[in-house]
Amino acid sequence: MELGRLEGKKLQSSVWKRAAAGCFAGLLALGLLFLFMARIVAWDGGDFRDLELFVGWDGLLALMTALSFCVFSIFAAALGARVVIGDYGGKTAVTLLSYPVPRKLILRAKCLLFGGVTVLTAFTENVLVMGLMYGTGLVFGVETERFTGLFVQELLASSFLMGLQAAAVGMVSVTVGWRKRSATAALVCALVILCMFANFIAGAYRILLPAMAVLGVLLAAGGMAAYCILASEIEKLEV
Amino acid sequence: MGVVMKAAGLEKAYGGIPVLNHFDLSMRAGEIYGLLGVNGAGKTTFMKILLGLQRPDRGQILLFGREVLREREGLALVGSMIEMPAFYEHLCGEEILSMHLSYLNAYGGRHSAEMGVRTRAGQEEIREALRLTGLEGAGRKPVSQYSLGMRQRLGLARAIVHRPKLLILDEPMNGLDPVGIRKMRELLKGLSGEGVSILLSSHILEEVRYMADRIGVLSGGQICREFSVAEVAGEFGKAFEDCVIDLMERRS
Repeated sequence: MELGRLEGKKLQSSVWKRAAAGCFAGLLALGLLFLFMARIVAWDGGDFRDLELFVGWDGLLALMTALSFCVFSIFAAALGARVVIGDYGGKTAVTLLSYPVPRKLILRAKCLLFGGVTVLTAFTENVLVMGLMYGTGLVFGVETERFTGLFVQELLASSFLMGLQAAAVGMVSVTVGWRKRSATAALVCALVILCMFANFIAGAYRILLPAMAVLGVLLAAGGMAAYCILASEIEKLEV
Repeated sequence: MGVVMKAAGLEKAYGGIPVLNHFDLSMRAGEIYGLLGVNGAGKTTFMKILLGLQRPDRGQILLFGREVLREREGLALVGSMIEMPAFYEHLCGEEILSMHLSYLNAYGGRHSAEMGVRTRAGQEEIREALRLTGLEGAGRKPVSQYSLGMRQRLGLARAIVHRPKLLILDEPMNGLDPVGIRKMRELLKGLSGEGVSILLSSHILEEVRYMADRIGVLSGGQICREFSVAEVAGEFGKAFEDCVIDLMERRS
């Protein structure tokens, strides 16, 4: 707990709060656009049956979850790169590694910090964006279908799983970035991974939860393996 | 006086090139040991090994009787400043010191308490460390606004705030003005008088000469000659500088 608090203190929190606010604004803007997409196409004389993903809350939830997964994977990689690569790869490592604290404990605190912040932010923002889309849909009569209890459960579970997946992508990216001693490499790695999996989430909108669970297990395994590699490298690190 | 640090048979090579070679050194409590050597002689490497930042290829280091590579708790009794100290730029001086104490407390606190080291120091001790290093008015300023000399002094404040038993200082006078250098000397002498052992490295002879009780010349990967204060002042006198430079050149 104490180590986590210290890691949090090292972060310039205002920067990350602004980043999270930016992510929220962007996702909300896209969400509202998607909400009106089918209606816009219909007004334009197009056939909105081609836009199955944009009609109904199931499709919109899958779409927004996929988008949030993309955004927060990058967020996790950037935050993780700052917390891990920035500290161990910079001059502060000399002081950090000379403390009588096992290196694994400090690394664990760092990973829990960026993973935890990612899960919490991604979950909150996805739920908030969907909530605001729902309110807007009702007010403007775009989507008159009500959220059912089952749907709310699906929304909460898929948002949580999406946060975990983004954190796992961040973990893998940070490990790759650490091996290259480059925050840019971490971001590129996150981009590659999310390109591979984001379509899978959106495409599986009829079976969103099982798909998210399978993907979550896959990415969590990757994240754990990446953490073990990183921990072993930090343990051997000489500065 | 008890031995606080003992290095025996240390060997370290980078890419097959030996930097430390059968390096032996021991320090007593309250002693100021000056480590002299040309750039690249291995002074910083030795200090980093002492702090567990690098692993020796061979050899052993005992800190307060404990093997530092296996038992890191002993590091809670050590204060250090290696190369130019680095900080988290958005934090202020007081926060840097408070964070330092929290880290020491997070794991090595119990051991430190047994040895009488104040890792649980409060604001009073932080202010005292800032005062001793001449930063009393700058404790609340973000480090990003500090000058080079102020950063050096904050590095020293961080090294002494928990009242360590052993201070490891690598080129501590870098970036200090003449007034700062004099204050630093007085501070280190004062700490030594309180029983703190100080290992000081430099490639500037005069700096070490004025402060150290014992001076070791590091050349060829080992201490090739040791001088006591009496020897420096008497036997060698003005020829001390020539003698040291000759030793450095001969072996490097």
